[in-house]
Amino acid sequence: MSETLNYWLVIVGILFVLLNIAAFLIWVERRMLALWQDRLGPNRAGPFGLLIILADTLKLFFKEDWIPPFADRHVFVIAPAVIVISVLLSFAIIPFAPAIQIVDLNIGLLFFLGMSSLGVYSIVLGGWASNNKYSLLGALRGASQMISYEVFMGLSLMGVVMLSGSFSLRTIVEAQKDYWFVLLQPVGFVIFFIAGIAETHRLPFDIPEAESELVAGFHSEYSGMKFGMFFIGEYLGITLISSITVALFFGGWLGPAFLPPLAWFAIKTAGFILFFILLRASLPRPRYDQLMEYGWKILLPLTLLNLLVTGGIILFLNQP
Amino acid sequence: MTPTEKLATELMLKFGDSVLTQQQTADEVATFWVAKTHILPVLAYLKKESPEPFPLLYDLFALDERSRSDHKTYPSKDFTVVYHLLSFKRNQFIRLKIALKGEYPSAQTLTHLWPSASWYEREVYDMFGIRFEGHPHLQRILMPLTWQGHPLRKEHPARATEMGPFKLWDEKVDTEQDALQFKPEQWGLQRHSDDADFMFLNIGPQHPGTHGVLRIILQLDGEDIIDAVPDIGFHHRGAEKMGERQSWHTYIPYTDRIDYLGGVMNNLAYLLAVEKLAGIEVPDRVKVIRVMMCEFFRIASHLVWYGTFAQDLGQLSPVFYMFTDREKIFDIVEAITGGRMHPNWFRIGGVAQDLPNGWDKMVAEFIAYFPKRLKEYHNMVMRNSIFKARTVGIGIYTLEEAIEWGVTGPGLRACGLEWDMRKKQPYSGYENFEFDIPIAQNGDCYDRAVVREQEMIQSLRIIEQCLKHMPEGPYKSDNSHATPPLKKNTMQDIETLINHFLNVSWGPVIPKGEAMSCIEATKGWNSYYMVSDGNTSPYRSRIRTPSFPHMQMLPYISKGYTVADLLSILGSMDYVLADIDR
Amino acid sequence: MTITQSLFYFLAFVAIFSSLLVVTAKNPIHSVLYLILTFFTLTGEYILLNAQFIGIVNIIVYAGAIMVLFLFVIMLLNLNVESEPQKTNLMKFIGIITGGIGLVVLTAALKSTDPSNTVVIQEVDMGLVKNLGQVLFKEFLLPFEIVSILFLSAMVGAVLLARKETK
Repeated sequence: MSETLNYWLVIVGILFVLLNIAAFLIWVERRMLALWQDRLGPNRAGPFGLLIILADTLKLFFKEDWIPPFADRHVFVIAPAVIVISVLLSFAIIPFAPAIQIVDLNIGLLFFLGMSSLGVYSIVLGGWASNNKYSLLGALRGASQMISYEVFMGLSLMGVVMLSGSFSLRTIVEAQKDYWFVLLQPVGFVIFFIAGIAETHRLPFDIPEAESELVAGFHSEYSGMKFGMFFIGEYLGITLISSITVALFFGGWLGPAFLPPLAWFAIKTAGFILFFILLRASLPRPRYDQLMEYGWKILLPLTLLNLLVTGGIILFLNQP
Repeated sequence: MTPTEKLATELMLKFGDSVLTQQQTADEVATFWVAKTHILPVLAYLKKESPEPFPLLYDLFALDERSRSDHKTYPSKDFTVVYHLLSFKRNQFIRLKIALKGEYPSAQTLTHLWPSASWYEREVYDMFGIRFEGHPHLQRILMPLTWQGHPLRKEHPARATEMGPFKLWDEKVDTEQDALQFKPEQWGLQRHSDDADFMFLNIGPQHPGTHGVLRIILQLDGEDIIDAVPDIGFHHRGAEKMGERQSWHTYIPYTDRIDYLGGVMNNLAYLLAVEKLAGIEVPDRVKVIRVMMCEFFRIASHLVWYGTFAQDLGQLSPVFYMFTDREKIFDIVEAITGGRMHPNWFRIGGVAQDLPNGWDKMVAEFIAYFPKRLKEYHNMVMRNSIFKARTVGIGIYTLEEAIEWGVTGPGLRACGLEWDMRKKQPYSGYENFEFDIPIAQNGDCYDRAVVREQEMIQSLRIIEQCLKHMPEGPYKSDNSHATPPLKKNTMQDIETLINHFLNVSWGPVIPKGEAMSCIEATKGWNSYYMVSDGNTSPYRSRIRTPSFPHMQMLPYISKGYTVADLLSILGSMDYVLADIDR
Repeated sequence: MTITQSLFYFLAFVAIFSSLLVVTAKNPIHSVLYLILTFFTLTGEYILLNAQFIGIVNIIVYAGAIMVLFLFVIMLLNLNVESEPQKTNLMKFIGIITGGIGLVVLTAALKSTDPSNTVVIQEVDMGLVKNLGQVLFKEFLLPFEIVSILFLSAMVGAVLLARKETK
């Protein structure tokens, strides 16, 4: 019985930590952006302005939860929930530490891809249900962007799968005992990370939102906690892509023994999260068709080539 | 033979003096009255057939002549329509006027000669009720569609108190609401083509990408722009009408707010016209101070453009760095003038005060500090490959198209024409400064950015020369029209005392006449055309702003691009709404 | 009834119900949403059969990609009652014939199968990636490759069709 209890504790614990991280990232992102942009950022509420998290969350909760009369009510409500659910579910397969993982599926990686492909619905449905032209344009952009980049995302991971011989994330992490896969799969890593940015639609790939063009894109009509769900979904998405990157390419929890495995995992993930924010601070946004062209004409051939070369080398080395 | 005489001879030979009558003006621009029926042939000749043609329609506006105190001047008229053309070959303006009789007269349209005449003629119609026969789309442009009357006519009230209390009847609510209803046909747009329904997207009036209250109606097929119709006038404050009831002196702060990023540069354009009318020659020190302040504002304006342009393309950080640098400029401006964005600091015949102690140290610090920053921005923005992908080859117009549409300033220089009013028709002592005119060849968004970026470096050069060679002397002219009048000229006898008293209480009386200035402002060429009928306030003040024709060109250069490109084009155009709507 | 069985019946009920809704829903977007729900229940059924790979691929490919494209197209077309073209009698007739043929083929196929002799019962781990890969790339290599060529030709055809439209 204690094992079941333990299991439930892990689930609840991870859920708790994740939601807090998502909220915490509000503060991190705003302070880091401010730092890089020569500003102060929120520094009034609490020490280092940390209570902005509380203030922001409270604000979101108490804002009028408005559903536009011209919107499709049911779909409008479902849409923001989809992204949070699909991202949270993905975390089920992440090995945070040897003992902390909700479930070690033997198709773990595929499960992650499946869940991330569901995230598109949030954008498409949210944009459509809002019945607003800006939202619709954002939804159309989002749909084509995310579907395209899912293709490269899946393919770029196959190199790792070949090297470790498994879809299970735990096995993949353990296979990196000697060297991290980023050394063997640099191309795969770069492509995966780019696709990951596109999946989370963060700058420079925030084309579905594109503030200066589409106002707020697919979530223009959302307010209150429904908007908050998109917001949390975005931060959870960043955390997810960062932790998957760490698990697949940077040895997950592995690291010198002076720190516990969980700490290694957290440090590496935090590094990638900061990188996400740095990207937002530094790069402009390409045009929608440029993004697609870049994906299909550069990333796709590169991924396939990477796959071919990796397979070839593995075959060559495994020859009797 | 002066250029004006040469031009007069050429035109007289061609058309004869039954058509043309020459007029002398204070600004020495070649001015001709043309018989109303002959205006089109004359303009067509000047544009196309003349050996040294006038390809640029610089300005088109009207005057209500009915209550002018010097009404009896030749010829008899109720309204006048004025055309300004520019010849690049001659480096000369020409001013043509036609006299119109009647309460609501009409004239012939110019739109088939110059596409850029369209908005100007609509403005004249909006403001005066003068109709242009054959105009494809004669509709109000600055005022709301439901507006009663034509504001720049002399009988139209200038103050709200003259209009009676405002009442919003139910019927009025209904008509206003009805006018707000979007009907594509009203804007000359098709609802669908043979194989597709178009989507109409309102960019604005409230939109993060338009930098102000501007509405652009987009006709979209997917994300491709089929047509775009700018709807302007939301920022219209009636600056020209206000000029008619302000004294010559108290009008200066209104000019600050025309191109609100240009600050004192607007004062300069206005004052150059007034000083021409009054015949004031300002001291050298005033000229150099004015040049220095104008160049500071040019840098400040370009910095705002630089940052917001990058932000329009999704780059979030540059705008913060650039606004920080702009603050440094404002620190200097504040130390010198006491104001920041709208210092209202130039005066008729001078500036408000002398430079404060220690100004040179502040300026020197800025000169040492700024080039490094510009280099950093160049690496951050101009060399960014995504930035290039978004701007190179986007929003192209050729030099011919630019001239045809009345594009001036950096937008013109980005097409490869080395034409800067500071060099070609120097004013305020610019001929004494050494600086280059940056140009670029392709006329796309990126090249417009290149030109502006380089201009900041050149402006810095000019400021450095101002710092090194600031002449000594008075900061205000001795001329009796200089405002506020000098104290030392009073208290000598009753005559000087009265003069001083009247100049302070009423403001100066500027001699009869008309004069136009033309300066290289931050966004293009800015002109004030001032008419005095010998009163304490202008009879007519016409403000020609660069952003107006630039915005008019938007549909022409954005067709076929996508919504995202539209933001690049808007960003590279560098307009402010106050400059368009006045 | 075991948990597996009750789950099966529940999923089956939802699957049938939601596929009925796909046909009856007025709003095409809602139809697509019900179809997605149907795919989810099918994935559940696959997992009950211990065919995890097929199950998750069903989500990735059908729910995650193809249905998004469906949504995409429907949103672009902006379907509503007025713009929906009237179906002619000929169309209806053809529809009935094709549907009928499909039904016949399906019943025939189901009749010929022996319910007691399914792959799953023979080998419980059949659905796992490793085993599936072995079977696909060893036993059924030729058909597998032929299918991929078929897809390739379909892709080339689609690109060709799209090209003709613009030029």
